[in-house]
Amino acid sequence: VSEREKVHGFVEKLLAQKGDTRALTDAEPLLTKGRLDSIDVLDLVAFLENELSADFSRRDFNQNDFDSVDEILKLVETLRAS
Amino acid sequence: VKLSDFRLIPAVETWPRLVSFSERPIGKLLRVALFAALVWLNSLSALPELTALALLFTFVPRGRRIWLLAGTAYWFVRYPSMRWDRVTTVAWRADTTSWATSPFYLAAMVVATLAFFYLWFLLTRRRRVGLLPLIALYLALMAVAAEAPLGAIAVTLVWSFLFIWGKWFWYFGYTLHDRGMKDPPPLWQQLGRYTPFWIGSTVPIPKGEAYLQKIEARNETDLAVTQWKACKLLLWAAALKLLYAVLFYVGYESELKIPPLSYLLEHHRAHTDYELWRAWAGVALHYVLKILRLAVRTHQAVAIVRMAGWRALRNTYKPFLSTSIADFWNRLYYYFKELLVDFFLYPAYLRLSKIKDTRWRMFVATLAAAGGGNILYHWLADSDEVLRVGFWRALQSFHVYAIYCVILALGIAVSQLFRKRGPKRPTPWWLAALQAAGVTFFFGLISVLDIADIDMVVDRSLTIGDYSSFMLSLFGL
Repeated sequence: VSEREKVHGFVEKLLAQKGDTRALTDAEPLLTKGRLDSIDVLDLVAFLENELSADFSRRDFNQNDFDSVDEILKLVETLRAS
Repeated sequence: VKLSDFRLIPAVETWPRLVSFSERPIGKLLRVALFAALVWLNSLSALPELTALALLFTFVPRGRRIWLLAGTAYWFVRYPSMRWDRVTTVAWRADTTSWATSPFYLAAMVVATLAFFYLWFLLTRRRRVGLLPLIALYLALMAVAAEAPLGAIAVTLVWSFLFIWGKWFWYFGYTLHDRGMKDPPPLWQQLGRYTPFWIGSTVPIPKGEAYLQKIEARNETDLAVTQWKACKLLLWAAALKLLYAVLFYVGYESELKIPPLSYLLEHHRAHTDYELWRAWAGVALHYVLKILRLAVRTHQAVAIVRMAGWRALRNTYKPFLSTSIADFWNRLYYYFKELLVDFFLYPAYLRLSKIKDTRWRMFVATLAAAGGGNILYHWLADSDEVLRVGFWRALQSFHVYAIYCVILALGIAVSQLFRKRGPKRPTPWWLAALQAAGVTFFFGLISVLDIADIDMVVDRSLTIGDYSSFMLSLFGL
C-alpha cells in the first residue's frame, strides 16, 4: 500500500466517523470546507508519526498544511527533507 | 425531500443560472445592492462606506488586499475599536492629559507598538519562539504598570503601549505563526488584518494570513458564490437580531419580568432570592441571549469577510444541535476555539509525544488549551479591571473565570475521551435531542461563571463561594 493510499484511507476513516460519506479527492480542501476539524488534525498527526515516521519537532506547525491529502503528503516530504 | 434538507433561506449560491447571471456587470451590481440593503436591515453603521468597499471588492477583486488595508485604516480613524478612553483614564490619573490625549501622542504610540512588533519579528526570525515569552512580557508589564511606583510619564507610556498591544496581541500572534507560509504578503499589507474593518474584536476573524490565502476566491464564479453566501448570512443575522429583540422584550420588559443574571446573583447574596422558576428562567434567558448576541455580531462580520471575497466559515453554527460538549465548543465560537487550537492545543500536543496513547495525549493537550490557554487569553484581556483595582486584586477576582475554564476544559477533554471511533451510525432523533439538551444544560449552567463575557454586568467582588451557593440554590439546595 502506497503512502498516498494510506493517508487517503485514514482521511476517509476520519470523515466516516463524522458520517461524511461523500467522495474524497486528494486535492479537495478538508479543513477550510469544514469537513475535518482541529481534533481530526491531532488524529492525523498521531497517524503520521506512527505510520509514516513523521517528526514534527523540527518544523513550525501550521494546521493549513493539513487541508488536503495532497498537502499532507507534501508536508511529510518536507518533514523528511528538513 | 428529507426534513433535514429543509432550509429557511434557500441555497441560492447553488443555482447555476443565478450564479452565471450574477457574474455579469448588472449581476454584480445586484449583488452589491442586495448587500447594501441587508447592511441597512441589520442597522450596521457605515452603510455608505461598506457599500463603496463592496463595489471595489466586487468590480476590482485583484486589489482585494489594498481595499482591505484602506478599509481598515479608514475604520481605525473613523470608527475606532481601539479603546482610547482608557488612555484618557490613565492620563487623567497621572495628570498627563495635557499631552497624552493628543492625537499626535496616540499616533506616536501606535507607531512605537508597530516598531516593537517589527523588531520582535526580526529578532525571532531564525529561532522558533512561541507566544509564551510575549505573554510573559505582557503580563509582567501589566504588573509593573499597575503596581510599581512609576513616574507619571512612565505609567502613561506603559499603559498606552499595553492597550494598543493588547488589542492587536493575537493578530500579531498570527503574523508570527504564519511566517512560514508560502508567498506571504508584505508586512505592511498584513496590517489590513489587524482589527479589520469588519470586526473590532481581539479574536482574529478569520484567523491569519495563511488561512486568508487558502480561502480567497480564485475566480469570478467563486466570488459570486461567496458573495451570495455573504448575503444569505446577513439575512440570517437580521432574523436572529429580530429574535433577540423579541426574547429580550418578552423576557425582561413584558409582564414576565424575568430578572437578569446580575440581579439574581445580587438578590441571592442578600438572601432575597427570586422564585425558583424565575431564577431558572433568568439563567436560561441570559444564556440564550448571550449566544444570540455572539451569533449576530459574528455572522455580520463573516458576511462582510465573504463579501470581500474570502470564503470564511461561520463562527457560530447551530450550537443547540450539538450532541457532545466538544462538538458544542467547536460550533459556538469557532475562531476563538481556533485561536486556542493554534497557539495552545497543537504546541501542547506535539510536546506530549511521549504519551503513546493518543486519547490521553489529546486529553492533556485539551486541558492545556481549553483550560490554560483560555485563562491566559482572558487574563491578558482583563486590563480594564487591572487598571481599576490593581494587578493582584484583579487577579484575585479573576479566580471565578479560572474555575469556569477548568470546568469547561474538563468537560471538553472528557467528551473527547469518550468520542466514538469507527463509522458514525444514525442516531435516533430522541437520543440526539436528549444529548443536545444535556449539552445545552451543561453550558447554560456553567455560563453563570463566565464573568469575562463582555456584555455581562459583573460584580467582581463576588467569590466562587457566592456563585456556587447560587448554583446550588437553583436545585433547591
